[in-house]
Amino acid sequence: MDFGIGIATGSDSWKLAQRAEELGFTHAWFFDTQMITGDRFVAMAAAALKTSRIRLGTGVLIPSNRIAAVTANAFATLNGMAPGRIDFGIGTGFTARRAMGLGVVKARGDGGIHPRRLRSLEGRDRRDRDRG
Amino acid sequence: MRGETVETAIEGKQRKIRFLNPEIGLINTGDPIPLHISAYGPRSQALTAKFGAGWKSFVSDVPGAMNAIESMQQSWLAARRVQSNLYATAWTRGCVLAEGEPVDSPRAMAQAGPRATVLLHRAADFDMEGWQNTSPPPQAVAAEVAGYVEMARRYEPPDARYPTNHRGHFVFVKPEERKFVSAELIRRTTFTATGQALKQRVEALREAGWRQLAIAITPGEEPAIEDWARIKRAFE
Repeated sequence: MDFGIGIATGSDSWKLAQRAEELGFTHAWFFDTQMITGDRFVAMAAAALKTSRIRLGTGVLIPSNRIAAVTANAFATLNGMAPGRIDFGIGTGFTARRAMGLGVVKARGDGGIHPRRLRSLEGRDRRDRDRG
Repeated sequence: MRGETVETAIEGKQRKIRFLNPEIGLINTGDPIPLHISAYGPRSQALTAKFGAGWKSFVSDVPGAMNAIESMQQSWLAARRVQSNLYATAWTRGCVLAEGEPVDSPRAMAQAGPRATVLLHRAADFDMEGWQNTSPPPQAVAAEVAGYVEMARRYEPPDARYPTNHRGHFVFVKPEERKFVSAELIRRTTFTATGQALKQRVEALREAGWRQLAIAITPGEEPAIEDWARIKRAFE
């Protein structure tokens, strides 16, 4: 069983990611609640440079609050800093949206981002491998 | 990465976009980036299965976690996928209690309390927006939830009570909401128990098919990671 940690994203989040790596945790997931925590791509970049084994993921990214093309670029840049150690977690983001006074979105989103669209820009998936 | 051109809505119109020169090495489109979808309802779980993505869900207790993964596994199998390929991540927050330590000790309140208040904030959101809450709180904590919702009705300004409601959400317990974070609320919404009891819970999750336990660490409570590392070592 894998063990990960969730990090309330901040400017020194890399320290917790680094300690998690030392302790053998497999994943560090960074929150994406822009009115409450820091910017996750900045924090993940710092963690990418300060770690070498632990996987770094968005836990979760809120697509309605971000532009798809720019988000894909951020992932591809992180993937250059920590090759093969990046995970893309995505959700509808009740809290991140409510903190801005926004309502609930459905899974297919009204914010212009659909998981398939981002992934097509960013990378291979497990679709074929997992097909029964 | 695939060299594909995809369409996305930018400034109200569909645009065709692609990375124009990934080959020069400014970005990495070569290494795969696994997708994980946070999915609670049948539609989003079906979407997760359709993509063959990893799946993430918050869990509060073992029975709830069992029900959740059974639901996801049904969607996974309906999409004709191999059950063992479902990578399921259980998210939680809690506190590894010392023997005899109360579930609402100051340490537990600091580490687990911010997860417990999610139930309160969500109830207040539904109340202030007039939405129908399809997942009403358990009767055992109905008084705590009702008390917080009543307090939140007085948040200022009246036309924008949501910022105050969400202040500290999932990162700390607001002083004024502390009185609503009862031991029962912590017990029902978090993984707060002794190490031995937590190991039993994690083992139950593992047996049910969960592949990862992700523990949210509260800001200012970073040393808690050492407690959770001891739980982790029991599964190595």
